[in-house]
Amino acid sequence: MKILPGFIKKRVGDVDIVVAVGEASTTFNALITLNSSGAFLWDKLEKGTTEEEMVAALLEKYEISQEIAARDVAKFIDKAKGAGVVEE
Amino acid sequence: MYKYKIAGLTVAMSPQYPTLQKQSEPYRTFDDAAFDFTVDLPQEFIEYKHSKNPHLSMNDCEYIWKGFEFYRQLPLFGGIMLHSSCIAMDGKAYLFSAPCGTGKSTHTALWKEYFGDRVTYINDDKPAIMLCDGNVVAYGTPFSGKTDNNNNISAPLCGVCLLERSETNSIDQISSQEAIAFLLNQTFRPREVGAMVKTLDVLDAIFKLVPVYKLKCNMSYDAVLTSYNGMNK
Repeated sequence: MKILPGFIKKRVGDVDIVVAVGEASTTFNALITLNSSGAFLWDKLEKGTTEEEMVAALLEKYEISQEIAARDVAKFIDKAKGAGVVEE
Repeated sequence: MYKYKIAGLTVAMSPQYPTLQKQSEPYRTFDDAAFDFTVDLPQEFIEYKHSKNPHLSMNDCEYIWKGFEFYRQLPLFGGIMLHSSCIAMDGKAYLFSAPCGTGKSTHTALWKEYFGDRVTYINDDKPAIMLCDGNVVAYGTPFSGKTDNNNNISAPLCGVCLLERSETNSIDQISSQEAIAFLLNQTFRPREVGAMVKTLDVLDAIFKLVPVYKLKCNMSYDAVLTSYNGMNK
């Protein structure tokens, strides 16, 4: 699972945002704002990863339960797919 | 091609029609600086735009589209345009941004009425906001929309207000999270990645160096005092 080409994440002020450039910007003209765990998961997806790897990475970074990590990753992947930014 | 100094940059341009000729005259320069970039569009392009927009004259089309061409290249030189009314007072620039028709020009016109000659227009429609040596500076340009309220001056940007109409006047500082979508909608979003990154760099600098406010206001002098005092606490 990987972020589709043409999306760039950048920190602007105190918020991480994602915008589309190139081909992707012809169909995607929204703006995504990410909180800190969202930005962290985005970075993983940008390199290409699996749901299981993302859960493991969250557990390593934050003091949260397996359940919460799994739930947060599932929610994130859902939103990313819904926004059309992820390829399988 | 004539030489112009706009937003600190040396620009080559060849105005063909009266509005652009008149508006760009105060920016003419005869120094020997090298050109940074050229603002030029083929005559066929202006004619094409005119045919697609018959309510606009060739004069209007040149002014509008050469303006777009200027701002399109600006990010590569560390600047962006912000659709806003920008004024200078006592050596400081204040910028009021909002979608068309909300009342930003009305608000700055009230500043001018209230404070008189202390207020000068930088640009009533599209100031160039430049990142220079770590400072955010607002510059006038020849391109100021429907009015000729622009001057070849600059001032450090000291406050950005996102303006909203309201019955009562209030001003509150807001975070970059709250302001980013609004401001990104008031500038050009380049398709090319290099220009997009530079655009976001300028917005990042604005958020780090310039206080950003939500200004809710009506059309009174009290609105002027609200925004002025709010930005000069």
